[in-house]
Amino acid sequence: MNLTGDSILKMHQLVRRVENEEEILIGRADISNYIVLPAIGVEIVDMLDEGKSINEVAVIMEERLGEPVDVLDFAQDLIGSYQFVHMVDGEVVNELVPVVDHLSWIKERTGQFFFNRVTFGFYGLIFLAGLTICISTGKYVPVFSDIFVSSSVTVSVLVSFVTTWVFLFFHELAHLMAARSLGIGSRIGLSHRLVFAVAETNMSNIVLIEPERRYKAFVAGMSWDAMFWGIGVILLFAHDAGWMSLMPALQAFIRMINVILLMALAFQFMVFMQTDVYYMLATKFRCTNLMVNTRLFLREKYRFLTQEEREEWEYVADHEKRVIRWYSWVYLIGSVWGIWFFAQYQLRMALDFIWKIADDMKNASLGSWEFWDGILLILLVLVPFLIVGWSWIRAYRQRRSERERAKSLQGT
Amino acid sequence: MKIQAKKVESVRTTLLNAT
Repeated sequence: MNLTGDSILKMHQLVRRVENEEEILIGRADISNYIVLPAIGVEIVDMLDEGKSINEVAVIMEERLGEPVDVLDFAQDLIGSYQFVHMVDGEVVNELVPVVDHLSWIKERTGQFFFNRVTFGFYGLIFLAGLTICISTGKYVPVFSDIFVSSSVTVSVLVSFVTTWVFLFFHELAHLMAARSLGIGSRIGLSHRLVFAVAETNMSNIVLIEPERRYKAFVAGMSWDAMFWGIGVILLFAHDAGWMSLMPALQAFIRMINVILLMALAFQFMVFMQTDVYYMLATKFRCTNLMVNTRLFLREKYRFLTQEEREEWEYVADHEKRVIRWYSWVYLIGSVWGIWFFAQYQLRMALDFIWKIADDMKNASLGSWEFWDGILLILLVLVPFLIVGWSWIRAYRQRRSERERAKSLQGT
Repeated sequence: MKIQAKKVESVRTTLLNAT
């Protein structure tokens, strides 16, 4: 590709939404890449897309503004960094990407049925009922030992493993359905936050919806977690009150679910990672890119930034900079605590556990039931760590291929 | 004059997977 002042650019399908009096959000819905541009930037994009060459647009803008506008530099960004440009002089520079929304058969009105004012009130009421029972009786507060439902370690680990995945799916399904009720498609996948393995729902197109209406999609997952937790407490209470009878195994199972749900809910409040509550905060304070800009801020303090990054930081909105001033502390202290917590608990417990199993396996003959039992347990315990490792490698590869791509496009 | 843009954060809600 050879980009010159005479080049003609053809854009991908771009969607837009007015952010405020001066700025417009614009981007590609197929890859969910969005930027916020001053109105004049969007005008330039439209003029280029209409078939005017880079030089022609530069002349028009200079006449209008009375100063030269670097349209060539902007065009470079539109091609490489934002990936808005489909073709340069008829040559494809950014391929069309087919959109694959997950569970696209779920209709908007189905999402609306499960997530509206009435149902959110209902979920909240059940949670409050559970909380009230917990506080007034002092019982049913989940404790960590609840995770073991059986005296058999294998049964306990297997049951908690399967249950965790079932509730992970329900949590993400809630996000997907709530986003769908707003007309936004999403994709469910696995990823990592800091050093923790997570399931995630990518609903990046939600920025096309005005901020006040986004909360519904953010809170949907937690609303179901909280409701399930409340139902669990109510069932246990009903059994103790003699209103109904639950088998001991079922009671243990409910206690295990509730400790998993409580940990999942607590995790959401660790806003130094991109959790559901983090997105609510970022939306509340109208930040466009809180996490990335916070890292820019911290690196600017302790190390130098590249010229490009410096410009990016300078251009961050003032109200976002004010948020970053306090959020950067949350980010720093939280991240240190998160890594310490991971090393102290998750990692150490997993290692202790594997060590103990390996010790038990020493006496088992190769291929015996005890042997395979041990292998299965070790594999189950390793799953979250494998997810984090896989997700790290994937993120590293994506960054590397983007860097190489940017380099190859720079050679113009 | 340089045309500057603000990149918009991608939105990926999550749930912890810890067994």
